[in-house]
Amino acid sequence: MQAPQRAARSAALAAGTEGVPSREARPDETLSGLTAPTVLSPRDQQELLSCVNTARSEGLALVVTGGGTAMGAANPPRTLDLLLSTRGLGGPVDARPNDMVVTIGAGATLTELNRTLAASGQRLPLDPPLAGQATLGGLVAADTTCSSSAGFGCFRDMVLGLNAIDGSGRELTVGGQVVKNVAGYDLVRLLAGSNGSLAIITQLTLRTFPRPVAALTLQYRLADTAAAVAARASLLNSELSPVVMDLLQDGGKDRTGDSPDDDHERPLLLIRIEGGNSELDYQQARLRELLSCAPLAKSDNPPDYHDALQQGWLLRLRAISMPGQALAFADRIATLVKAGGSYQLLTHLCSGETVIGLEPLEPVAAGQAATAGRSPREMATLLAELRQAAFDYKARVVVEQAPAGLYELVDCWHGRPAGLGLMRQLKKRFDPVGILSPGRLAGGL
Amino acid sequence: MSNPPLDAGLVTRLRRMLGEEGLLTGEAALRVYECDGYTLEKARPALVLLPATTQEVSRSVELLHEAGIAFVPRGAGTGVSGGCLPADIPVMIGTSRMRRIRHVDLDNRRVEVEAGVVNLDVTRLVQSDGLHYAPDPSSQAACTIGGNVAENSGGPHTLKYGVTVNHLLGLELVLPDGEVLQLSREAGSGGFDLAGLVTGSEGTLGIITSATLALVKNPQAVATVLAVFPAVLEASRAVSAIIAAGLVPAALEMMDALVIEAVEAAYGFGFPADAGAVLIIELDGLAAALDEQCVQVTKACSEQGASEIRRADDPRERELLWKSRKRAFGAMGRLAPSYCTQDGVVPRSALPEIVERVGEIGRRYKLRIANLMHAGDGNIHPLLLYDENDPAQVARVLDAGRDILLACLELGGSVTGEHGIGIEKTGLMPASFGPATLAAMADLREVFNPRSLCNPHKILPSDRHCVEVTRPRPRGGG
Repeated sequence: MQAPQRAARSAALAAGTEGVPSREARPDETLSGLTAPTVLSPRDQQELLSCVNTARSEGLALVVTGGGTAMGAANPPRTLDLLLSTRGLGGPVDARPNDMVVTIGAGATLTELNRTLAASGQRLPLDPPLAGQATLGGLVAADTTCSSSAGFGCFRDMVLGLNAIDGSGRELTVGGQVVKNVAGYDLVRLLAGSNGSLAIITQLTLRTFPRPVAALTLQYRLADTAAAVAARASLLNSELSPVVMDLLQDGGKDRTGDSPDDDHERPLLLIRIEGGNSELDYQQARLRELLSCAPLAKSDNPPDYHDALQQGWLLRLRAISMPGQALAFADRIATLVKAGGSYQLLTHLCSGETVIGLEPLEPVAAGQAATAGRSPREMATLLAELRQAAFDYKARVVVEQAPAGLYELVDCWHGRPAGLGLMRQLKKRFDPVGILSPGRLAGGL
Repeated sequence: MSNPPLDAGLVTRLRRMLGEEGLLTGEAALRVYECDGYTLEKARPALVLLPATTQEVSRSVELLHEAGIAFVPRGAGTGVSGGCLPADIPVMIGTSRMRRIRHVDLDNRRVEVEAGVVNLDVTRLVQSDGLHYAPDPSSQAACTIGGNVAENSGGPHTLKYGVTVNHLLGLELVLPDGEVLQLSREAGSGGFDLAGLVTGSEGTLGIITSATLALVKNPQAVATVLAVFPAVLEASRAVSAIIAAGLVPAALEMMDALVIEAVEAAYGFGFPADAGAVLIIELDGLAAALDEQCVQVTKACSEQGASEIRRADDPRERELLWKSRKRAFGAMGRLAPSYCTQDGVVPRSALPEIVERVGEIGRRYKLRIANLMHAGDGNIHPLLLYDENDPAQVARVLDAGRDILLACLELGGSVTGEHGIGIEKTGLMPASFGPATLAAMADLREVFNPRSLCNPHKILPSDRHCVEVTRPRPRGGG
């Protein structure tokens, strides 16, 4: 964009959003390789509405961010005039443990929510990466997959109601504080997973669950992926329903440095079980029978590998396949990526998704850019190979985080969703001027 | 909106494509299609199409779209809000011949079935593999998967397992212009969750022709506890106490004295004659956990004044108990010539209050009201007893029903938990949603259904509809 044009936009923005806290974006606040000139941080629904209305009347493109944990997980917007942070949309928490629901501002984090809920013995049992940073609005907007989705489903399954402002400035109130509700069209479904491209979520009512009496994370070192396939089958056909069933595979040298043994290149099966004390004893005994081995390590704490996988790699991809094909595809992925250096694969055995970490981020001195082994062009070639291989498994590979140069070369999304024509029309209805994340989603949505 | 006349050429083309068994005309054949479980309003379609394949549905819809003729999809007709009432709609498209099981994928815990497959048959298909399909509406022996998805059906076990949308992985949809879409709910598509949006849209966004459903592992053990209370109030408090104890039962159902009287007369389970209310509490999971949980449930119930608590461990006893519950609607005929089932929701903790309000409303309108509830979900089904030959009583039932639903809204609830808006509750939509949200809903319907040929006049208030907001109906679901 030309400098004078940009200045004019900034001036219009400043005039229209007077009173809303604003600042310049930090250099590390990049969005799929782009930097926004301005970050606005509205503190309530009214301030957010004035931001949306200004953007609408001035034709400014904005991208909503929560905790900034998924800024690279979509295509760069066609234009970017401002980032709109929802982190300030907190507000009082209305927890109703006897109804097993909570209403909370979209800018709160899951950690904040669970801290509040703990007092009444409740929780929201999902475990996304960077739970202390990611906002609930962002997690719902992205419908982030979690390890504990095996036991509890996705974020979209947790939402009972929400408030949102759409791209035409309409204040929407959908659903409510009850667990069953079929009145009218379910706009919650439309907005959950729409990545802030139709409306900005300001408040959420979520299901909560009682905290378990006890919980345990168990790690098992398996011989190879064939053993992992067998372990998955025996768990699937057993009476057990662990809340987490993940397989972690490291290639190249051990990066975390805290591996409980020296065998880090062999797959690590991670299981989390919950329940009363007698239930936990029973499950542990059955796991020993089913997996024919004792756990390598046990911990009361939930698994901690998500954050490292989220932050430790320059290039992060996600493969999505049917659960039954996920391990075979992960094997194929390993074959394709291992020549290029270290990698890590985390497969959620129930959802069939595999997070792929490539190009380890070595600690670098301040002011120095991280260097990658592969050039963006080589990364693009690798992505194309992975997508070619995905065809055999009816799988897809999407980009979650990448160096700036890669966004110019590839589509973060793999293919086009069915019903794209309807989606484009919905986008026009909910965001007629195209101010919300224009072009971030598949097919230029 | 007025429909152009059905022209003979069009009917001939449809008949040629669908065959004699795929196209019904004539009074006798069409009578069964004039209403669903909401029987106060009736309208006979001019033509019923029963296509056997998605392609036939698509082609039929395409021809109707070209001719500008409205149509309404129908599953088994077990809905209870008039969602498939062919009011001002000449053509009905039934899915009863679309009964193929397209794919059973045990490794991925899913099945793809056509829209006309009956709910219970999905579970029958996989039960020998230790799996089941979790949503279990009371009409599950008759209702179809297509209808379940269209209504986002619930059932007694939604407390722990969720409703239809929580078990839907994808669907095949014929749009109102005949285009066929395969919609998946898989993560990372970079688009919107259209399949989720279509769920619960009551046949107004297109015709669902197949659905891919998630299968759930059968629990290792099930314990069913029956607790008898002197009155509904104490039973409602016990529900809150069970939830507060940190338990998530698979089902938590309540019947009041009138319902107990009716089901006892019909099925003879052996409920105490003086019971004011009973709770059916079902716990499931690992056997190692259940005894402890039963102790907690027993404690919560006895602290709230339960006079009798017993475990129904014998499978036959449990079966009879569930039969009594699920067929309670059918037993109501023993108490009054007609009854109207309402379907409202309140936050769980507001159950004691809504129960009192329903009692007051009954007294105010001089009506007997029986109460059946998915208590754990806060989903109430008050049954308003009346005689349909007495117009004054009918009028009072209408007013009382509306007052009950408005009371649910006042307590922070909803006017429907599982029966849908249909044609019955369109008038309550403005009380449920603000103008901006209603406008957004109208927008999304226009995107899918721009000419409003697919099931018009449902869900959103329309100019055409002049019937009363809430009408009694003699049958119920849930």
